Amino acid sequence: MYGERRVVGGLESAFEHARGGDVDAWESVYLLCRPTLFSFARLRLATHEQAEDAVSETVARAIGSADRYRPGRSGVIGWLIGINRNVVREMYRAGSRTTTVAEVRDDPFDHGPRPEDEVLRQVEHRTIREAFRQLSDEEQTVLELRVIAGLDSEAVAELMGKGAGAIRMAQSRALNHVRTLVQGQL
Amino acid sequence: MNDDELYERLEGGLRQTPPPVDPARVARVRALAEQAAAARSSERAAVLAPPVASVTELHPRRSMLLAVAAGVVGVVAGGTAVAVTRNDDDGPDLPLEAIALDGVPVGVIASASVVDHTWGMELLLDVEGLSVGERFEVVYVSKGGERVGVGGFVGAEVPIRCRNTSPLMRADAATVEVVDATGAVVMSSMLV
Repeated sequence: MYGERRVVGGLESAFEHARGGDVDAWESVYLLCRPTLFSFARLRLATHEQAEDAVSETVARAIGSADRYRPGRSGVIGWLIGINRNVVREMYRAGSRTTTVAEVRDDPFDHGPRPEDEVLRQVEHRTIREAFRQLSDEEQTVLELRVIAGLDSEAVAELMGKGAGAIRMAQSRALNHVRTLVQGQL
Repeated sequence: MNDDELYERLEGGLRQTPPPVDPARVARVRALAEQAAAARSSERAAVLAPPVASVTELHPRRSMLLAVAAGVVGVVAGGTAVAVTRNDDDGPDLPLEAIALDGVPVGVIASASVVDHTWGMELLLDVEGLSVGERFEVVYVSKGGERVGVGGFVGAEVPIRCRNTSPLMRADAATVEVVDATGAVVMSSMLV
């Protein structure tokens, strides 16, 4: 059962082995990056299946261009996110998206709190996603790279080809924008 | 609500747990990895054989060689001439000057050289991974700040090889930029 499969080592280590031609390591790379890439893709694509397709295509492209990876501040996950963004953009243009982020259902695979808490949680998540949808593309990107990928300002700056100071300011502006949009609702 | 609390709520709202792993998708990853490993082995053997002499010879095989050469060319500092030449109407053996590209988006592979012609400057740009269908323009910026558009291209699924020329002389050029349709700089190189 893959859901219970234990992957030994982190993404960086797995990728180093993978680019050396280790097939098992490529499987580990896929399993390790999948949660993050899936979240990115799912925010912009209509279905879980399409988001899964985007993750698979991203890893397929990574396999084809692994020799050209150059380590940077954002690491392997940053490189993969960059590929993923292109893949999602292409799928989006091809008409894959039929929903907005506010319509993304709360996680059907996350069996968390009690039903009454779950209702409150879903309302909060929906409010957050609705606010997120109203942000500009850049605001969305700087926030999701931080909260989903966990990248610091320097890594986000590298990914977006900007200075770290500019990214910190952009994150602060985006956060204030969200705060304004959700005011009184959370 | 402070910033940390808001970030936490954003994470809760935006992060999605993927469905259970589909073994068929894993099998596809493994199959692709096996194919890539086999292809790289034979590619290395083919690339190591012939010597690199000139861009004229290089061009037909450039995309294949780039995979191997990118690591070398990519780290050459801006303005440093490399031992690659090309024949041209200016005469034989014009030196190609490899230039370092800054700000190359993650997921994009790009390398570039310029040629100092008697009539101006030529840019040789190899790039892949840019958004398919998106328009890009190449701009030279002179040391006096003048911006000279020298052509453009559209992102494609295959590696793109561009040549852009301008009467702006190499000695007068300060920067080469690739900009997107909004004018935002996608990647650039400061010429020294």
